[in-house]
Amino acid sequence: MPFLDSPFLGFGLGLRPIYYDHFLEQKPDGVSWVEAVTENYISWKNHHPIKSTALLEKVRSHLPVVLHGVSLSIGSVDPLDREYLKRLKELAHRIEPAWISDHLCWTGVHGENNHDLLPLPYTDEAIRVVVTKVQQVQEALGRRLLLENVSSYLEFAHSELTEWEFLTEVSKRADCGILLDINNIYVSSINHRFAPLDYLNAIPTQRVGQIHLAGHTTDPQGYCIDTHDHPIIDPVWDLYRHAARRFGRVSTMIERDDKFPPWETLMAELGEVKRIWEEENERSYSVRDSITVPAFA
Amino acid sequence: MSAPTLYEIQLRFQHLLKEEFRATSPDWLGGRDTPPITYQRRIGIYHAAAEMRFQEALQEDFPQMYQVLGDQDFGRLLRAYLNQFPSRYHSICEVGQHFAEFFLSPPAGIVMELLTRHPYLSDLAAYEWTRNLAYWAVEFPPLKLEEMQSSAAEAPESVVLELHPSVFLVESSWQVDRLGTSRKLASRDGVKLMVSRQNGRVTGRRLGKKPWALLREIAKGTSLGNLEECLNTHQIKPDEALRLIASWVSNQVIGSFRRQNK
Repeated sequence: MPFLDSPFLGFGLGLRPIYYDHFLEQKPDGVSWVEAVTENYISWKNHHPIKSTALLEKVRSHLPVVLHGVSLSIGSVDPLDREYLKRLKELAHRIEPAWISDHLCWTGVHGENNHDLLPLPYTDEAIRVVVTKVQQVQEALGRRLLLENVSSYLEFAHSELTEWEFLTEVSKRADCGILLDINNIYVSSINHRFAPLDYLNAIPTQRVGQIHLAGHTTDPQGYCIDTHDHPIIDPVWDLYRHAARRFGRVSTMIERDDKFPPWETLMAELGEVKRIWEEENERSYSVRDSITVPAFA
Repeated sequence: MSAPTLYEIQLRFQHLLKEEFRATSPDWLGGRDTPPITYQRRIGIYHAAAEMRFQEALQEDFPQMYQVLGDQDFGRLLRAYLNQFPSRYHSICEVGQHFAEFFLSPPAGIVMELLTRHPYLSDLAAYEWTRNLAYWAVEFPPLKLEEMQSSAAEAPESVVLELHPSVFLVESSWQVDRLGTSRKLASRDGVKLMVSRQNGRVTGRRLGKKPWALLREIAKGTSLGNLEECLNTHQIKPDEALRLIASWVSNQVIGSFRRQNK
């Protein structure tokens, strides 16, 4: 059973400027929802007539939107950035997202933001830091948060748990949801030599509220880097097949952030996501499968 | 040896992101440290990603400066800038806002060296950031000329015109608006520019002495009824001033007006 706070919206895409035309006037065929990057709409750089929050509202008028942040820095020892939280709350009030997510990571310390999703040591101290802050965020927003597993390129000598144990423990103690990024599991599994199925099988099904899929880059030395600039590769499709069977009715989307393919190519890839989900769930997905998100006034 | 705290790890990690990786491996890193996936390579991925991300953001906001300096010097400048003004913003798009200020009290080394070769860098940074402000400014419904005129006719001394939020006045000793097209123009002739956004595009237009003086007076918040001194000083005839103001309203250089209490 998936995370109850997150309705099953079907199959979606990240809202990126290059594809705006497909979202502005109507709901595009084959896309049931979109994910918008929170920071693009809470900066003062969001007033331009063609890149504004008003534009996001327009998309929201005919399509469910979820908000996905990159700067909450939930794992930093710094206190929560109250100004960020205030702006996020205001944006959520305007957009009425189906849910709000961010990453299980930290982005800086001493008030700095390195604008990267930095890994945490898997220790009890880190769990306590994250859980306290997630609870503060959830209280401020009046809703539960989804936290995404990030790709990582290094490990810490003093980690006491595996990544999946850490993620599970955080979600249970903080009572939050999980945004499971299948590509990130694959990337980290190559970089740190673990079995990705061990990871997938350990994640509590009732906590997973959303799934991300994406492509990545493999360097000549065999190291994987989470670049979101390639199509999804076969081993990630295989993992998704397993995830679709295990987690069932969980909204799933493709993240593409660079080397953007033509719209039709991306739609074909999203069609493959839907086809695999249907195969693994032995039924045809239709709009009726989605829980309706209240219309946006 | 006791385990480092989360605070200690984060502080050390953040430090490593900013500088080239040293030969010794930090004892708090775990996992494999054997070729091809060495600790140096692992930290290097984060280091390179951070540099690339900041460089892309600043390159977008300061395209002329990037063109003038080239990839290598722009990258060195960027590292020095971020050491002094690390990002404290939610969005990476905001990180360049102290660039002009940075050149006013530059650290020794590469920045001083670049300033010797390109003494206009501070002005150029200010100009390019202003263009950025103009681009992202709030959109306003156009001001109706008749509405402004009828208010001005009633009590001109109380009517204060306001520039559209996307309009900025920039004065520089350097021809910062032409550096991208010809380096020879980086001479001390000086320019007075009106930076504005029209149909989503930002332009920097040079203004003559009279329009500049009048628009700057308006930007200072001088009411219509109190512009006389400015007109006299700069020998601007009243009908000439009215024509300029009407055209600025039509072109959304003037975006609104307010009544000021006496």
